Amino acid sequence: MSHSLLSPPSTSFKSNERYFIRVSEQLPSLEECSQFVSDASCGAIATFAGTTRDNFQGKKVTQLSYEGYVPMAEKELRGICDDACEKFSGIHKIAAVHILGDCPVGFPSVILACSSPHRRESIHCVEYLIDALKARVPIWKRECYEGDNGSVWKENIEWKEGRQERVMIKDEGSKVT
Amino acid sequence: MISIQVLFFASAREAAGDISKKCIELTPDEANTSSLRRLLALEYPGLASMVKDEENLTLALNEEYVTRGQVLALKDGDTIALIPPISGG
Repeated sequence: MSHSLLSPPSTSFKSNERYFIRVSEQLPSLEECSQFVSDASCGAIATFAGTTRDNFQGKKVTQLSYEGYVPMAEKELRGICDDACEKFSGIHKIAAVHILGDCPVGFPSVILACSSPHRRESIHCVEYLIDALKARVPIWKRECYEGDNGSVWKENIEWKEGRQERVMIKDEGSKVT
Repeated sequence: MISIQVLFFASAREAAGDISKKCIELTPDEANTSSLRRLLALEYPGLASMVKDEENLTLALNEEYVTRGQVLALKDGDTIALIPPISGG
């Protein structure tokens, strides 16, 4: 039993909170997120870590630099967690953390973790969480390229798609009146 | 006059000349999100094309997104954030 992959829940995380949410220059570790969601009643922990990739369309990426509207980003993350718990009934706890500032190649910028009694809910939930985060949490990244290739602000396709959806719903509503 | 706080992020912050926060006074006639867009375009020429285009710049009023086509009234003490297309993750 001494060779467990994850440590048992640590005493520092013995909180009654259901969610661990943070948008900060100090990103909590994957281990901390797993420990937060870990629970004796749960047989599954699913995690997702998004890391900085070293290339984009043939250009060499040196780092990503993140900026966020912290209070709103944390509020949106909380809303996403509420939606996820409603959608996947077995979810016990969720950790959703995002970095701010510079994130070099290979380092994580976002970590999501959740726990449930059985595996399926957690696996699906973690996918839902990252898709929803990309669609609605006000955080921005600038991709920085090697040499004289400069840098650009990126745009998530999930944000664009979400906006089109909202407009379509609105248009249908106005037809009724 | 009412006074609101405007927050600039990412490309909107840069387009406004690297300003991240500004207090703006509005007359009762101007106290809505549509007039605010027009005033910001006048005050920050670099931001004009972006701020006038709802496709390109979304507003958040007191940490809630304003959906496209919606014009909301503003009151004293409100916070408006300029939200360019997001790219977290």
